[in-house]
Amino acid sequence: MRIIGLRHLVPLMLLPLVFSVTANEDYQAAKWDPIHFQPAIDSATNEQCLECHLEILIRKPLKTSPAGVKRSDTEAWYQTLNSYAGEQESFHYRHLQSQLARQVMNLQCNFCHRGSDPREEAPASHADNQDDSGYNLRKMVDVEKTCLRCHGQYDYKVMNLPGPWHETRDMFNDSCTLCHQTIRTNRHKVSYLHPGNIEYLGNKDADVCYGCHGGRSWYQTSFPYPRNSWPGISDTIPEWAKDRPTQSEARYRLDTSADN
Amino acid sequence: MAAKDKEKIKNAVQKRKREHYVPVKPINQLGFVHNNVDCIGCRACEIACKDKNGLGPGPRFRRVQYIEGGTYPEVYAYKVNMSCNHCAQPACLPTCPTGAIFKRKDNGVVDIDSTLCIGCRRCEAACPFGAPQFDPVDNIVKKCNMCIDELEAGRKPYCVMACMMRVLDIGTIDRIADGTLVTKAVGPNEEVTRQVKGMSNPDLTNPSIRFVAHSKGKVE
Amino acid sequence: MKEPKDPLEFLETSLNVNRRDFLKGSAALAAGSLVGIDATREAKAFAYEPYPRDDELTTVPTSCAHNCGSRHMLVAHKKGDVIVRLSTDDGRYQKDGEFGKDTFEEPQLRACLRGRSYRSRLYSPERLLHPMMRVGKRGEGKFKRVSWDEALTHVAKEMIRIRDTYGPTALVDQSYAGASYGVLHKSDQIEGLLGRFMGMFGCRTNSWSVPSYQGTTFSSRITFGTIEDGNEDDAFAFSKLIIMWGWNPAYTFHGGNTFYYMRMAKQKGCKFVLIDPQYTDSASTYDAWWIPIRPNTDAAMMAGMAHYIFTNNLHDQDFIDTFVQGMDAGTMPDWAQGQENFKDYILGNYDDQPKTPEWAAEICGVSADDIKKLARMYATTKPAALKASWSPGRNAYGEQYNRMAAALQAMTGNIGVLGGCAEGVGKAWHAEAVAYPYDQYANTWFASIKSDRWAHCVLNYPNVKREEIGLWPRTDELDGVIPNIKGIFWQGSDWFNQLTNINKEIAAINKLELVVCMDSTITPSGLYADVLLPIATHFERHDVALPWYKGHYYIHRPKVIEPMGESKTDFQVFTELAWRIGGEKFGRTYNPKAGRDYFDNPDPVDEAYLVDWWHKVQSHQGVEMSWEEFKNTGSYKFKLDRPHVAFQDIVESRMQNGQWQTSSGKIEIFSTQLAQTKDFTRTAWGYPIPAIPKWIEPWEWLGEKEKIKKHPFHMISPHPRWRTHSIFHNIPWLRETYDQELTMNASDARKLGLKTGDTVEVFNDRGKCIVPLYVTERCMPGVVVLHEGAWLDLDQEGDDLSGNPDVLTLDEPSPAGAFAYNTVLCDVRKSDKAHRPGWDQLATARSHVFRRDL
Repeated sequence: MRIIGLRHLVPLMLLPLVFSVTANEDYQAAKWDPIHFQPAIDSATNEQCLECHLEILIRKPLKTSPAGVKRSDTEAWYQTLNSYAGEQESFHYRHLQSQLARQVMNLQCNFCHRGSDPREEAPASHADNQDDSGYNLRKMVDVEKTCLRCHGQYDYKVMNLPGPWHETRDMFNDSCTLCHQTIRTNRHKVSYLHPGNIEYLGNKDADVCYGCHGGRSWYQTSFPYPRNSWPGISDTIPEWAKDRPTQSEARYRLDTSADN
Repeated sequence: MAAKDKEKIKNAVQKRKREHYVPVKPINQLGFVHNNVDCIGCRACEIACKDKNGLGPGPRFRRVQYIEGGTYPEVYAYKVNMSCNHCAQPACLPTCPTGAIFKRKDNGVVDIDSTLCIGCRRCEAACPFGAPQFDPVDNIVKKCNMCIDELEAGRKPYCVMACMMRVLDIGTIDRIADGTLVTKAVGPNEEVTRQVKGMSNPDLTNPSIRFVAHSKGKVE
Repeated sequence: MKEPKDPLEFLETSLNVNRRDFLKGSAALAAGSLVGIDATREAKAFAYEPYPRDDELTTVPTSCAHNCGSRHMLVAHKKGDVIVRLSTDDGRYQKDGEFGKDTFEEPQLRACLRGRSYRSRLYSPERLLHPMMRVGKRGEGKFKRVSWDEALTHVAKEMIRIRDTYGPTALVDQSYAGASYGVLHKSDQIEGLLGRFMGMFGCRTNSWSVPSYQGTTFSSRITFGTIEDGNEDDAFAFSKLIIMWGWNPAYTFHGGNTFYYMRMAKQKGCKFVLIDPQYTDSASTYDAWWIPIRPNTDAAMMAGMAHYIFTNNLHDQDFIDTFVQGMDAGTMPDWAQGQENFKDYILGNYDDQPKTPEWAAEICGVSADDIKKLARMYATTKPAALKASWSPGRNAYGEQYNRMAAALQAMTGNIGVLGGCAEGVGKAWHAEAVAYPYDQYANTWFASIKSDRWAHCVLNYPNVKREEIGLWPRTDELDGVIPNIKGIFWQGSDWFNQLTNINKEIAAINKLELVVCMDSTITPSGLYADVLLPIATHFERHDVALPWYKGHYYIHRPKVIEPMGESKTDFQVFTELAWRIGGEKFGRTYNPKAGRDYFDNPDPVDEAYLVDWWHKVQSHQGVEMSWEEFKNTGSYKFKLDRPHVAFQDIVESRMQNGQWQTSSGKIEIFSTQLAQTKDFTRTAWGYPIPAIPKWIEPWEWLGEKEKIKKHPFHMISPHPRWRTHSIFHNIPWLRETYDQELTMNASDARKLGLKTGDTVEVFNDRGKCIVPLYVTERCMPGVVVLHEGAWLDLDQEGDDLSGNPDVLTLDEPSPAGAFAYNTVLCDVRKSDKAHRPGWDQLATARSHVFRRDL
């Protein structure tokens, strides 16, 4: 099993800090560059994005808050998972650069950022952003289509568990694969994840699974994952899955022969 | 800090390990109400807020957003005005590693003590409504606290008191929702909704805000 | 809707919990976060310590101060001599006031976004703190700091030299209302502090036409004999139909609470119509029927409506017969029998061209059906308010539009009735406005010209005809004498940036020998000045605020803080100059209450003027509150017996209680004065104006088949909401909320291959500016919109990078003096140049800035 590293980001991190746009140049033109909008943003590479936005990789939180809270002293509830390593960093670091992120995910900038509107920061605010523009009111990322995949509630009822994972994990030997060895779907076979690594690491430590399935649930709802089939799946579709697709979105789907 | 305290904290950490975050249930959740149609979009509320909170250019706690559509000459336009929605189950709060963000037990205000903030910007990313604002000068996040100082003085927040059209107000969210709050923001025969078009799904965090929606801004 | 019984009820219930208890609770429950800090630490309300709460600060009610469209309360919260923040009227700062009081009769005067941003204007980096004198070329922006003595010595010496060399017309008074609407510290082009000073000094060319509304002023004076043709704002709550003709109260506010009373009208079922090339925020707020119209064709559409109303017998003949002169043959005065009357003009009895809706449709681009429908609505809905706003009058022959509107208002009998409207200018309640010295010198001048013709006059002197510059007639030997302009004074004025055809001004200004700019900040005009004098803002001097055209209240304006830097008030500067130029005689005549020390000690004198003024208020307006009580309270709001409606007494009494102030005493649709004018070149208008309202083709418009081949777009430049003309352009908060941008219809943009955010150049033969594009369906095809007031920012090639529309406008006023700001054809194309939103280096707007950690 090969652990895939940070594919494109590493070479760029070695570049000197040069912003292609300085305050003296045409900021107006830069912010309206077609790359910030559909459809160009969907094919934008990380290199292209980082050409201007490199600071998302190099910026660090303060060492000490204004009142003296040390970054190294903080420990949030989600930091107590086995899979959480190191001290507080920026959320971009946690999604792109941390070891775990690089192991289990393959996030491209345009996975989350699917467009923006520098004028009004709202969809349908002028004639040129009337269609699905990839962002929400006040928000340049559509949370429900991105963050919620890993930051929603752990939907234990769907899995017929007696309770939330943090209450029931001991009943299952603190192992997700205890059950999911047999109920094994292709759901992770999407371009923004490393399915092989997820299998490998998840087998070793359930916190790796839990990290994305309840252990960092910011939101009250759960992501309506597609109901990929698995060997032995029942013919009757349960109520919760009635309207769900049976395959991942086309734009993320992988050739199932790859990387497993 | 005494060694005993450190031990206590460590134990608490152990206990809470892998636990789930449960938000505070306030005694009386306050929320905002905004009339999307009657708002002239003057943004006096925004500027009042910036002045009150001493913000420079950049961070905007409150934003009035201009929505428009249709095809000439059959067009429409309305405004959606949000600051922090002081959600019942805020997404910002569980992301905060320093405890800077907290929810008040009495009125449900999602408050922040930015002096505790280390600027990791998690809350900013997690909020479905773009409420937490990064201050690039101080390198920390700041956000609307519903002018808690004014609330405590028995007055309403600066944005509400700035509204020239009287279309922005605050009140007990349940009373806003069931139409029993006496407010100029909601006209006769008008009803309020939880969500408007383009806004993130309110089920994510249960935001404490209601709108009088434009007919083209309604969500089925 | 009913008033809130107790607006704070919910707050009380929410605060039942003992604060300390809940704080402990919230700290313990905070976020499952496990930070290594003292868990019992009391959570502070504010992160940004030290954070003084309002109640820990000194509260000083005052007001905003500019020529914007309203006048609202600002409440300064200060610590020592520093304003920490501003709030606004919350019901407390009036007689029997309490927090939350906001009634129909005494609504709160809530400040707009500009007023709320005042703290950043006050403390802005652009603030002028010391007198300065130019060391570089005009416009280059190189100045050195000098003492007041040096600056005033220079100004006084040069004033005398210029007057004695070139005569009494050599200095142009370009004072304007930018710092006006105080009863004492008044900047005004006609009767301000500067005008009286220069008149008394004996050298003054006055600028008589008002940029914002001269067409409307002319119409109101000609038709009603007064510009007080307005209703108070609460009267709008009683209309059944409000036609907003080019009117955008969501932007211009136009009175303390006009927009709010209109919301009440909407809630009572009032219908709204907007005639405008843009679907404005007013249209959306009031759910108006939008009728897009080609700019500068409003009079034609109105003529079409008049035709429909006449031919369908929907007019109010009784009203016409009783109150109107010249509406039809029967109401023509005896002496004018045989001259053209309005109805016969409309019916085409003079030119064989009936002004039918179909005829109008061809001109204005509105379908005949819509014209008929609107005409019927207006004639049959009672009461209906046709609010003919100023902007369609800022056009070639703009006065014809306003007069045509008055004809419609009169023929439907909507004048003098509650819920109707005769506006026009819209000035309503009569305030006691003058605390400054007022005497025979108040408006002394030796020449008076149309305000946007100074550059033309300078560049062509002496080969200028009096009608070209709209020379006001005189009865002495100075009549018809073309002024030999050698200097300009700007007081409360950024006219170099704001008048038409800036490039012509740039050519003219280098011919001048003295340019003085008095302002609280540097301005684009200031860059062209020889002397910059730092003027105290209204936060730094004692005054009383007046409502602006609508509203019935006074707001006390104490000296909230000491003047910043070496700032002085205008009144101090003129008084000091008077003493320096003419000794005690001039000094004491100009400022009778002041001694020689006024420049250093103005407070007792200012107070004395205000006390005298308050005595007038008490005796003329029946106010019982004492001056001291007024100062302590902060404001005085009048309660009127009924909503003030212009001409209501005349109409209700059928002219038993007075008549109109025209020479006939009636509403003059047929103007006595115009009909009896033989030689228009000897009038200030210069060129003929018909005695009845007529559609006259403008010199640049979309109906000009030849001209639109080269310049296919008609540009209009309305008043922005995020600036007062050019004031506040330098405020980053405001630039963050709105971009200076060119509005264009989506189909036009598609044809040109342009989209929102593209940087475009807007150009015609007069100039070019660079600005981002906003593409929308809310604008009529063929029309582009660029808001006035951006701060001129020229590049090496002379193109304006700020997007100031006045590099494209023409300095050709309408005969009646209306600025033709909205009579502009232009073209648009994508630009390689970079737009500059402001003068500061990092002038980037909007919140995405911080996302890049710049």
